[in-house]
Amino acid sequence: MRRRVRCFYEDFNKTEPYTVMDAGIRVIELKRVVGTIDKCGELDDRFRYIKRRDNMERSRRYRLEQAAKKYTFFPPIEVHLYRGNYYVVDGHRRVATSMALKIEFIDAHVLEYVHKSEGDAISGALLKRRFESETGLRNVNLSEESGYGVLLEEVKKFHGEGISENPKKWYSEIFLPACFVIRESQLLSFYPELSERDIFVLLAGFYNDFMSGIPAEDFQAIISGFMFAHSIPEHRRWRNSPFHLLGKLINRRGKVPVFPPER
Amino acid sequence: MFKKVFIKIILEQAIMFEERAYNFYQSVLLWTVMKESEGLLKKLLVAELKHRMKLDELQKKGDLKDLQVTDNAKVEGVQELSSDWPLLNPWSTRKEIFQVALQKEMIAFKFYKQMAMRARLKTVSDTFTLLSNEEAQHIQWIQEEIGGNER
Repeated sequence: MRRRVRCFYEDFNKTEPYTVMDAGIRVIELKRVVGTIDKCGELDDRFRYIKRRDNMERSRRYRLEQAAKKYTFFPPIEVHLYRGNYYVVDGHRRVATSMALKIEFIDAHVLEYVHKSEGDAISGALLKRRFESETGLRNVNLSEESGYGVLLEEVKKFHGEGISENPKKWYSEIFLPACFVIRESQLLSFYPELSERDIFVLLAGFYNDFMSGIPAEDFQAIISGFMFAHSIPEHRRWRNSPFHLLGKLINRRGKVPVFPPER
Repeated sequence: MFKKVFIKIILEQAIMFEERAYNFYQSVLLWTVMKESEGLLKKLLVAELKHRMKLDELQKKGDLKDLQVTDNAKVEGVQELSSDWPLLNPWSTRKEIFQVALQKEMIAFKFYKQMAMRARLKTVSDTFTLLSNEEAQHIQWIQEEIGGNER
């Protein structure tokens, strides 16, 4: 039996007070599109009709697939965002076609639903909007939305007062190269649930608290410093390799004790 | 090739020294007797982490070809750099703790100064000069703190 898509009104408690925020049109990850608003029980988890298998339906899907293959851009779908998942209002066939073609991202008009009792979620959503409206960067996609506040501070530090002059400069010169270094580093394996973007926020938060900002050093050294300060084991070539024996020759006294002394 | 490896190992020793200094300041920060000097200890803690990053960057990216180190014995300070930290006990006074820190900062200062003199390449020499100047500043901070206590 095929699994069905999730139903928005089964996940979302309508009796609890909530607020809706228009996030506008943005590019969303298709793997986070998990449910539907009005086709509960009719679609499988690949957004294909379970019972309706008539020729009309097949022909509609075929036409969409052909359009996608000819690099025709689909108009944005309509989705609701609730607790990090997207539920489709309009555009089920576009989602099904994109999934069939293994497309990773899709344009969508997003309405975000947040319960008023979830203070962190509301402040996170507001921070995200503030970050997006002030910087124009719309697809940073952090899993923890409170991190947008940290990122906004970083952009402000980079641009000073003139944020609006070139909002993408920080993104391309600082953020993306840093994310690349994080992706290549050992750090990602210690935080499997976080993306490199989230780890950038983690690093920025640590250095902001510790030394009022990310230092100007090479980002590899910054990651290494963070790992050391958090006692995360790091493979250090010149310490752990046989070359270290040479170091011991230089240091004729042998092993260096740590403070406080090991017991 | 051998020279390059040798310098990287020396830098690793210096990184380990900074790490031990960081651990030292972090652990004494928790001592009740050091509460009054919390500000200074935090400043030193930040400085040690910064030094570690600078040395790490130099080790990974720096062009170390022109650093003139020909003989193990000639790199004075390396041995002191990796020597033991004197043991402190829970009854150690603030002055005793700062004396240990002062002694170690002096070793680091001498080592970086020597490395700065040996480096031909300007960027490498500048990094070591900066590190030695900062160590000199740390010595001054600690001396002021010890002086302040005595008064």
